[in-house]
Amino acid sequence: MDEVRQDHLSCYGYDKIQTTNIDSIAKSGVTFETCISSSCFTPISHATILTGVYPPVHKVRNPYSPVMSKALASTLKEHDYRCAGFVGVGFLGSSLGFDVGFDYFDEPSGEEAWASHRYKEDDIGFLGGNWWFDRMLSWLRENHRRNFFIWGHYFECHLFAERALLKKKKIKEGELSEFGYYDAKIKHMDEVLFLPLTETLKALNAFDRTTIIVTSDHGTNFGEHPVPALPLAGEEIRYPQHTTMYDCDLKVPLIIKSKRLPENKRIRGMARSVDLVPTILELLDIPIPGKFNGVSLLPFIRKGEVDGLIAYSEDLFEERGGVALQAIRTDRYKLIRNNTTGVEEFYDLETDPSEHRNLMGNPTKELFFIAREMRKQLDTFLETEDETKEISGENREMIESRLRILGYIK
Amino acid sequence: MVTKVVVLGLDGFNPDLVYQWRNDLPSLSSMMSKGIFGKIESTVPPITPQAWTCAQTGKNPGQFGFWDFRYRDEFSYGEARLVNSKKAAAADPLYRILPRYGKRVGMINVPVTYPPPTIPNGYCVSSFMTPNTEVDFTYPKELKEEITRLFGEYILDASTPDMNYRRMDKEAVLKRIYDMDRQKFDILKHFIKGKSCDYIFTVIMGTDRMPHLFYRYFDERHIRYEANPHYKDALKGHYKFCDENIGEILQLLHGETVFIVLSDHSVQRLDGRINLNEWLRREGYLVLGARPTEPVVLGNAEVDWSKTKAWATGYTGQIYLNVEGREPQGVVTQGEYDFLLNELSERLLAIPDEKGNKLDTKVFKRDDIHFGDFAQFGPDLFIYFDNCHWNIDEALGFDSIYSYDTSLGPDDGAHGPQGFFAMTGPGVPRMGELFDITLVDIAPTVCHLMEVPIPPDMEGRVLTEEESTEIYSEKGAEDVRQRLRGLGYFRK
Repeated sequence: MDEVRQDHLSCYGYDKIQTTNIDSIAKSGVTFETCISSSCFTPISHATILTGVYPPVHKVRNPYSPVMSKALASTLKEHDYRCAGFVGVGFLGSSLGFDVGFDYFDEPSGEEAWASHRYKEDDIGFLGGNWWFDRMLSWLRENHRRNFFIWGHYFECHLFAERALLKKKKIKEGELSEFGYYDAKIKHMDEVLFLPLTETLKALNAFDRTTIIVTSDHGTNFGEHPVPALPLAGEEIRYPQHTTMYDCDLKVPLIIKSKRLPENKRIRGMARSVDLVPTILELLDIPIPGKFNGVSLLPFIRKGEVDGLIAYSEDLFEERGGVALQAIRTDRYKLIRNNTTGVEEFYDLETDPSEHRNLMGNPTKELFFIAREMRKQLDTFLETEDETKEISGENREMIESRLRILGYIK
Repeated sequence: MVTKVVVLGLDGFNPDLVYQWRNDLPSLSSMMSKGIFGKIESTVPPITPQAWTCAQTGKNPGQFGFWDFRYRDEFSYGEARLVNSKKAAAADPLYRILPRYGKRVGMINVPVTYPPPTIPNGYCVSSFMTPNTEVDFTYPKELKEEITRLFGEYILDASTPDMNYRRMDKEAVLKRIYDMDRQKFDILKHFIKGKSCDYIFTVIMGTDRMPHLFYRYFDERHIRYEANPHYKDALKGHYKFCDENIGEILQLLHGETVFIVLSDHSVQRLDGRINLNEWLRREGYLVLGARPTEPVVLGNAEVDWSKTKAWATGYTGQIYLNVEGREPQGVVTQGEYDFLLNELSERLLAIPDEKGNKLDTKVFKRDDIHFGDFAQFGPDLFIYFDNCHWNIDEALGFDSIYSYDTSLGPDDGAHGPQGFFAMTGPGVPRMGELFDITLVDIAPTVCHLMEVPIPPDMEGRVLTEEESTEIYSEKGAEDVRQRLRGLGYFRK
């Protein structure tokens, strides 16, 4: 999913709409209370979801740089999986190497994208839209007898998709219209994607043995943290947009259903999008090479709680949000750094989950040293690849043990 | 309105000369009358890179890891690494801290800012430790073009690419120093007028280079005193030139910005050099395979490390012990360590000058003065021969333990352990002379003035705070000094 906040799904407690079909997947699996994505920008975040490494390693730090790390499809292909990718926006396409490893790859074309079809050329500068559900289901029917992997990227919860959906009468004028028909689009997605997917898997007798992961690349901001209006949206649609390092933009749903996992279980603590690939590999009994920034979440699922992890996020692509941002977060503290202005914000998420009381102005001694360690980590993510490599392995363990001694990771 | 701060660093500016010439330095004199001034304790040793870094971080060299232009960060024989901005930036200088609070920073010609560090929303023009002006020596990169266009080719130092300033024609080097410093003052004024900075830190280097070249012409006690009417007032003339510029800067600031003038150390009369490694060799602490026939630097000498207990480096003099389990071929046992340090200290204190006169020498054990993650890599002992009027030469192969010139050429000046400090502006009370200022006080004072929380790892104190507003008498100051010494607040 693209731009879907976890707190707008009913399985996460939302009551304005019922996302029944996603909820039923959640009931058959585990739901992580918190999952932090590696970016508030789609290509960066998706590259992490698919590779298990952070942006300095996979190199997607803007919408022009191709994925430089081995992605899940390539690994699975080596283990004899059939792989198909279906994406809803141009910059997750073959031009940036997101198709590598897939036997079948489906991306928006000029003919199909709502950007080029429904609107003036200058309205939106990229190709977007979702016409692939039927093709995905056909592919699934053809390939379900073998081991298979499908990556679907549903783009139509994103801002501007409502224009196409309204024209096609997929959503109703005036109904759930807030924030660019945000809830209406999610409800629509639940019905047009998750219902047929679940039904098809069940009809093929493949539901039980299929692992399903539901997540999003980032959340979105409804104005909890004011930001300038998007140039092409105009003042009337100031929100939603996703250009910050606050939790509204980085906290995403994460639901994993697998025959290896318990049903209807909630996992406390903070997981990360970067953990998905190693988690999937362990679920599939594929050996996990030690080169990931993420870790398998299975041990945490057994405990019922994720602890001790540090989540890194960035959006250094200044042309989009106007500033270059980094954030580092534990389940308790978060440091956000604006690299364009140099300004930092430091939050205690336990006492201030909405991130409105910046502690940089009067930190206690303990918080000062925590922020200092976090800042050092942000610096390492700005270093070159060779330098970054040194941060893995033993060095990383040393850093993490120091952080542990300081008491802010368990 | 939150205060802005401009810091003007005058490298090597000597407080005794300021006091002596105060009547001819009206702008500084006015600052001293209106605000706070005094002598400021430098780092040990009083050398440029760590002294300016200390002022900007509020930390002793043990926290940032260099105590000279070269340093080691492992237990090697020799200081293999050259100070660099990355090392300094890691200790969180003000140019890293202030942008976190939205403050715009301008750094001009400050030592140890090469490679130019990224200063978000701010500026940096690197200093004399830049390889040449072909490289990128500014942040952002485009600033180089602006500086060159407005102020001409950036003058990195008194020395030219092919000539050590100590060997240059005096007239030529004098002109070059004025050109160099005028350029930096002009860049500073340009920044004050047009860059909307909240904090500017500029260092003038000519104030260090001048006394190294012209001290002998006005101080009759100088070993090479030369009555030369043409150069008699050369150094004073440069102090007056700086004072005039300080006056212009004060006018530009309209009393709305705090203005700090300070030096990192002084440059004072050089009386001679102790060939410290040669002394260590003669006394049996340093053992050579073969004695060089002419002076060679330590790195080129054939040292028998398996028999060597101590070696020296540096400018004022610092000694490393060759410790077992620490250095690769260490021979000094842990049990012997303190004994050897005490023995060396006593014997160093007893070294007289060439004529047998007693020198006012001080020694500092590292563990008494430096602390922090990097202190362990530093020298074990620091020496101020005759309170730094005598420096050292680390080369081996001299016929004597005394020498006056280095291979670099004649030198008139020696770094002294106290610099000059003056501060005026909004929020700065009229406190007169303070007697216990140290370089680590600068960073916390700037944070306080700019309403930025003082990081708990800064060691200094806020100079404008009430506790220090008492204007001590000299006698009272000495009492306080003694008390603080007793608390271990000061080096000896």
